[in-house]
Amino acid sequence: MKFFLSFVVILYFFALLQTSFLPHFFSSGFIPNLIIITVVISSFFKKYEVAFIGGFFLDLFSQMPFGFWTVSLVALALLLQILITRYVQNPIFQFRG
Amino acid sequence: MKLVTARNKAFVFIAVIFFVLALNFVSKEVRGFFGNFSSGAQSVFWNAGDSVSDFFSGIFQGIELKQKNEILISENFTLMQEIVGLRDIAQENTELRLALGLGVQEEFTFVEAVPIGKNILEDVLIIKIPKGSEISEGMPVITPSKIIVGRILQVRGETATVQLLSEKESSIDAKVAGKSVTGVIRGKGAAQLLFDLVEREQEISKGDLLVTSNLGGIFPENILIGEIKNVLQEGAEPFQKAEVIPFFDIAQTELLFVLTEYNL
Repeated sequence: MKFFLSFVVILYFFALLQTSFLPHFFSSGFIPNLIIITVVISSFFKKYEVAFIGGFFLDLFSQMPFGFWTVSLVALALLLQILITRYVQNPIFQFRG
Repeated sequence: MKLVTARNKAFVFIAVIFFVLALNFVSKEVRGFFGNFSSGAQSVFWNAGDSVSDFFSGIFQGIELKQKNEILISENFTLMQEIVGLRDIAQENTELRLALGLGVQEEFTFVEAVPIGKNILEDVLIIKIPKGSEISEGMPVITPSKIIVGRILQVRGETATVQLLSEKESSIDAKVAGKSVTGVIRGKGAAQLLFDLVEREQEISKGDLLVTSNLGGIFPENILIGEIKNVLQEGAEPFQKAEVIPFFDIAQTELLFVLTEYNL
């Protein structure tokens, strides 16, 4: 529960940064998406709830139909996890005893 | 036991997805609630971003700013001279309108709004509006310098969203100032505009000023849009296009006007 609430706060903070702080520095319109970056990193650790929370906040600050970003980010997190499990070998584990 | 846990997880997963999709029926209310809830924090972040970007602009763009300043001072004097001449013409126009019984009309009435954010991955601005204001969807939004920003997309209590001209689904009628050349300004996303559907025979060139036209019946006439950056002529196409540098700069905007009444 603590993990879930802490990520709600963190991702809400990132959403506020992206909508209100970063546009001043990226007037061309291409603003780094902190929420998607967080979701990608957390999918390495199988934390799918981060994708739900991140997608929900992206849906709130978007004109797209509700659920577009939630479903997209959850699908992305699952796909990344499948790719990591099947095709990525962690070299740290290879050299253990 | 593992299977039960996995089944529970799958059930929760599907239930949450359905819940989120069901929110589409009340998306305006949900987004309105969060928009109003976040508007205070967004104002703080917006002002902080403005201050920090101004600070770093001063440090890293000092020489460029000095040069720009010198150019602007010179342009300012040229414009002042033009204003002196135009004031006489405006006075004459008013006197003639009164003499002919046409009356003198206010250009437009407006409500002030403050930008507080921009939608993620979209060219849609979030603005804070006065409580109980008569703002409704479709109303034009301009800056105090009479530069077109866009139009109201949705009103959500104390906030509203504005579809910028650069939004991909935006298109408005426009013309070249001082010439009888008309076309359509289309949004390309990422703060980019395209001046499209200009007849091939019409002459347009880099530096031409683009303003709104009243052909579409949406925006008042002669509101500044931008300047032509590059003319694109593709093969045997019947129309030519041009890339446009918009005058509206989201980072430099502190106040906006929502036009509630205006003449076309």
